[in-house]
Order: sequence, then structure tokens, then C-alpha cells
Amino acid sequence: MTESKADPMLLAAMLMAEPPAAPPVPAPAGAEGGIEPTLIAADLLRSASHMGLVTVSVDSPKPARAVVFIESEQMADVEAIAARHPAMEINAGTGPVRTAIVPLDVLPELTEHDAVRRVQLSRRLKPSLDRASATTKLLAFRVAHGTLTGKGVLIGIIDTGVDPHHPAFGNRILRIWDQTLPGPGVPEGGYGVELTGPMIQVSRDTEGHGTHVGGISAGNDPLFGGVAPEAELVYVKTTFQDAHIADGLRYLARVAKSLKRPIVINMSLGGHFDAHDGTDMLSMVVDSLPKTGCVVCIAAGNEGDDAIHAAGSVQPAKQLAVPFVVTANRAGVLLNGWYDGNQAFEVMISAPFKSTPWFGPGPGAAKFTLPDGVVTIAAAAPDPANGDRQVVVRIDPPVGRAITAGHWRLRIRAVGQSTGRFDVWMLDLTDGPGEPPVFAAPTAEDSMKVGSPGAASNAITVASYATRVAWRSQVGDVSVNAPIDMISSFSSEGPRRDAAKKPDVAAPGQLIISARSADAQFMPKLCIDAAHVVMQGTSMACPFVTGLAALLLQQNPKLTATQVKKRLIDACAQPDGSKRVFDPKWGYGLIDASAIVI
Amino acid sequence: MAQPDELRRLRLRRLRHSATVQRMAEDESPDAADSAWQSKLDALLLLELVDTVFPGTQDRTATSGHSLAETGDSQGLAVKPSIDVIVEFAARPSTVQRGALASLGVLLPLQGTVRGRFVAATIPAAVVRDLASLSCVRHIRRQTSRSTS
Repeated sequence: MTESKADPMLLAAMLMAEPPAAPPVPAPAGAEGGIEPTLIAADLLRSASHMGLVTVSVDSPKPARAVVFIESEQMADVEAIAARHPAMEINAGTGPVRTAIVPLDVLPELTEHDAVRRVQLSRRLKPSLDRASATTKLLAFRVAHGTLTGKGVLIGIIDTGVDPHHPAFGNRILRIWDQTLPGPGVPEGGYGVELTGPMIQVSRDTEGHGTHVGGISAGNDPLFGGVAPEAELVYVKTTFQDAHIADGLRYLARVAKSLKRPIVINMSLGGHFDAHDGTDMLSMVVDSLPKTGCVVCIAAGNEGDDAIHAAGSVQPAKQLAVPFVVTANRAGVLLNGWYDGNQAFEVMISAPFKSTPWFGPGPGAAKFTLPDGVVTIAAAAPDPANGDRQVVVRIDPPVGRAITAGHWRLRIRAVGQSTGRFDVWMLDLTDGPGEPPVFAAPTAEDSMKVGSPGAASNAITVASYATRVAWRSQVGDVSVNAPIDMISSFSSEGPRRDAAKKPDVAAPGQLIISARSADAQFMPKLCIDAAHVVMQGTSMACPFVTGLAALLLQQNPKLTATQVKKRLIDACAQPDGSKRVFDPKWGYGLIDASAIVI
Repeated sequence: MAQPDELRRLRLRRLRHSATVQRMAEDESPDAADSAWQSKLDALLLLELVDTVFPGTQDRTATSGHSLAETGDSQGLAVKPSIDVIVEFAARPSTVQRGALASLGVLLPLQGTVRGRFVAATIPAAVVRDLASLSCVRHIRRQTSRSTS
């Protein structure tokens, strides 16, 4: 046999086909370490099935034939080999890549054929949610509640749109409100176009994010199926403006009411312009939705690895310095600061070469042109929503130059006897590559990174858990160096600024395979095939929970959002097995679907 | 297109606002009358006004919250962006209040209502002060953008 032409799995299969050197000796019943012969056979069967081996039986656990890919010269004649071996089947007579079923004892002859370049054992691809399903015991849940498929429930997705032609969705997309197209709009907003019926087919998802999210929550696919594969879908293809997202929420609630259906709304999106306490407008709209039969699931955010939050205490006669590093080629940096509205603070910016004067406590705004950058500071009066004061600093490039990269400081001092905590978040206004600006020690904090709308009180806010670190793409095997069976490092931490507990639950979101939009561009190494792609983020964890919530609403459409959240939280556990224990990174822990009380 | 009278009014308003903000920055003691309307704005909107209403505006970096719609004129005034805002009313705006707003050139709702007394709108930056000065307006926030996560 020409071993260089056989892939490692094929060599392993050949070993499997070899008769054992000596017959196994069954251990006496009850003896420690004893393995029943039937278990060996079953194990072989399972292995063989995964490796494309066929005609294996329990009576004779030796695999006889293998499904293989044959890479050969275009017109190579391997039929002659098949003619000599009746058990060999070639599915295509010509072409550089062919598939065949080959008796294992013929493989040496096949690999020695001059025109055959490589023989590779066929692999059975694993479903996208295979690892996710196993880890969260979704399969056990399905066995126990086999009738729950999401049928009769609406899943509303506010995202980048959907590829309506993707087979995973069939005819289950009922409506799309495309906010990005010019048109008469809907009652909730006089802009965009509502697509129904055949018009749904004209919609496109050029980003691919919304299609992937839909596949996880409700895709019906033999290999990469979603959690609620019979739920029906309503999409809002959004502009991502918070007011438009809010309109989208109300639109979805109205559609569900008009169709007399329960609905789970998925929002795999977020931002950090807000107070991080659930009092921003978008979060308030989430909390104002109908209480019964309407659940909103929101991604926690992907800033777990990013130093975007800093905090410290301001005391009379003792200023707080918040250092941050501005990286090269930034188009703009925005600092979003908040403190108790009963206090009065002033702020200034110390750039690498110059500083602004003190400014505040407002309300008001001023612009300062420094050699390092143009600094605009705005300080607002107490916000009626939470009584707190917001201070925003924006740094723009000076005319004809870049913002000076290096160490900057935001300084805060008290007016009179004011005192208290000051929290600030960093937003990179650059649309492009490069390292984002970050806060530095000692004030940088890995906390309070769940922004709007994930901070909404009534939402189920979802952190990401890692169930996969490798996959087989169109261009070969790909792996990443990351821990598995662990909370994703990128998953944003809570709690909220008012100490309320967020995120709520953790679900698989790292390297998830799901539906691929035909109109989106992806790196080849992320593409599994023409219909599936790997993506990761709390965006992917969120629709997993959305699907679970849809199953619960199918069972009981009268459940309130609070009841659904409680059932999911009750089914969560921390890594040490503890329940009802909150952790700012995990929420109440990873969901165990088999523990959900229906 | 703005009319000449309106342009003169806008110029005067800009000059008045400029003096106010310069005084705030230099004296750190904002005039009470001017701070009354400013107290109804969130910090992100105040930030925008520095760039859009007052003289000395430099080349802008486009950020979230700006409508594609812009206002301007053909007589040499810089083109000023409109701003996407969410207006919070003390109560749901009445027909009379909507009429008053329309007289300011502010048509509500322009982009749908967000929730009850919250109205999303795209307004010229030049009319933010007039809008905030109305007693029926409780607070005005700049709309912000979200991204996929």
C-alpha cells in the first residue's frame, strides 16, 4: 500500500480492519476493568459509523468497506480496479475528485494506482449544535419532550436581515420589515418597507449575521439544525439606530398580537453609549413590551477581553486620574462617563503634550483644540431616567493630523464636598482595522460591560460558553487556541452599574456552525460549505436561548417573560454545580436543558 | 431649502449660542437662562451642538446618530447636519403642541413614535434650543447606534 496517498484516518481504518492478534478474553463478570465483548462491538460500530465505514455488524465487528474520496488525474481509469472487485462501487467515472465505496482489502491496490493521488476516508459531518446540544443536554430535553419544536411560536429577529432562499428556513419566514430600504414604513415607523408573501424573496442579508442567528434559533437542517426548527420567523432588518430598533420591537409585538401567537424576540446586538443600568430608552422599550407570551433575549456583548470600562472614587480635594491608551490611526475616541446626579464633578483631559482646562459640572459643552487632538467635552444635567449625570468626551483628529497615540488621562475632581464613584466606558469611533483604545491600570475594571439593550431588566441576557475550538472548513481543518467547556473570554461581564445582576444565563456561542447567507462574504476558513459558516460571539449564544424560550412558549403560550426567565435560570448551574448563584461572567451559569421544568 | 429670513434668524441664533458657550468655557459659570434649555439635553446631544450650531465648526468625523438628511443653504453657510433625536414630552404631545412644533419647522413624528410620550425625530441642529425651550418637552436625547455582537 502506498501510505503517502492515504490520509491518517484511512490508515486507522485499515488497522481497524486488521484481525486482532489474539481473541479478546472476556473478564469474569463483576471483575474490575472488565469489558463486555458486545460493548467492544458497539464501540466499533459507533466509530465505524463516524468514519464512513460500512457493512459492519455486531456479529462480525470487522469493517468491510469504506466510503472514500479519490483524488486522481482528470481522466484516470480506476474503473478497471472496480471491474476486478464486484464489491467496489465508484460513483463517478471521471473527474479529479470522485467518491467510491471500496472494500478495505482493495485499498492498497487503489492507492498504488499511478493516476491516484490521494484516497481520503469520508467523514460524517457533525451538526453545528452537536457539541452545544450535548453540553447543554438539549438532546435529552428533546427525548423527554419530543413534540416541542417551536411550532406555533413566532421568533422575531432584529438583525442584519436574512437570506430568504436558505433551505433551513423553508417557507417559515412570514414577514420582513426592511428598515434600510426607502418606503412607506409600518405603523410603528414611517420608513422602510414591509415585505410579505413572494416579496420576501427579494430581501438580502449581505452581512450574514442575521441569517446565522436565525439558523441557530429556528433552522431546520438535517446537519446543522436549530433549537426550535418549526417556529416561524419575522425579521426586522434594522439600521441599528436605537430608535429604529425600538420601533422594531413594537412592530414584532404587534405582529404577534395580530396573529395571536406567542413570540420570542432575539436581539444579538448592543452598544455602550448608555448608563449601563437599564434606564436607556431602548431598554425601557424592552421592559414595556407585553408581559405574557412575549420574551426578549439579548446578547450580553463581546467586550470581555477589552478594557472598555474604568471606575474610581472621587473625593473632595483628591482628584481621580483615569489613564487610557490611544492607539495609532484612530478616527475618534469617545468616553462615556456617569456619576451620581446629586454630586458635581469637573473633568479635564491630559493628552501626551497638552491638557484642557477643567470643565463642568454642566450642563454645557466646549471644544478644546490641542496639538494632540480636538477634545470636546459635554456635561449634562441629571438624567430624568436615573437621576445621574453624564459626561461625554470626544477626541477627534486635529486638522491634517492623526490623534496623538500614547498615554492620555481623564481627570475628575469634586466641586465642593461632592464625592462618589465615577464610571466611564470607551467607544472606538474607528470604522476599520487596528487596535482599539483601552483603559489602563489602576482604574480599568473587568466589570459592567453589559450595555444597552442587554441591560434591560426584563430581558434574558445571554453570555457565551465555548463548546468548540476546531472545525473542518472548505479549505481544511482549522483550530483555535482557546479553552473549551468554559465561559468564552470575550463574553461581557456584568453586573449593571446599579448592581443589578446581568447577564442572566450562559449558552454555547463560541465557533457555532449555522446558516450561511449566500449574499455575504466570509473568509474561506470559516465556511463549512455553500450553506454553512462558523461564527462566534454572544450573538450566537443568544439565539440558542431564544430557541429554548420558544419551546417553553409552545408548551404554554401564557407564560410571562419573568416565568420563562425563572425556568431557564433554575436550570442553570455554575461550573462547580452550584445553582441560583450569580457570577458576573457566567450569570447564573450554563443552561442544562434537561433540567428545565416544563 | 432655508429661506433668507430664516437664515438670518439662524445666524443670529448661532452667534448668541456661540457667546453663551464661550462664556461657559471661559468662566465655568453658565448663564442660568441658557442652562435651562441645556439641562433638557443629554451629553451626547450637547456634544453634537458644539459642532453643529456654533461657529468654529471644523471638519467633522461622521459618527452614529446623524441622519443622512442635511440642512443648508446656497448663500455660503456651511451645510449643517440634522440630528436624530428622541424627544421626551411631559405627556403625550397634543395636537396644539404638535402645531407649535410644526411652526418651528419640527414635524413630529418624523420617524415613528418610540413609546407613548417618546418621539423619534430628525431635526436640524439649529432648532434644538427652540425645541428644548418648550415647556411640554421634558428631555431630548441623541439617538445612538448599536452593533451586532
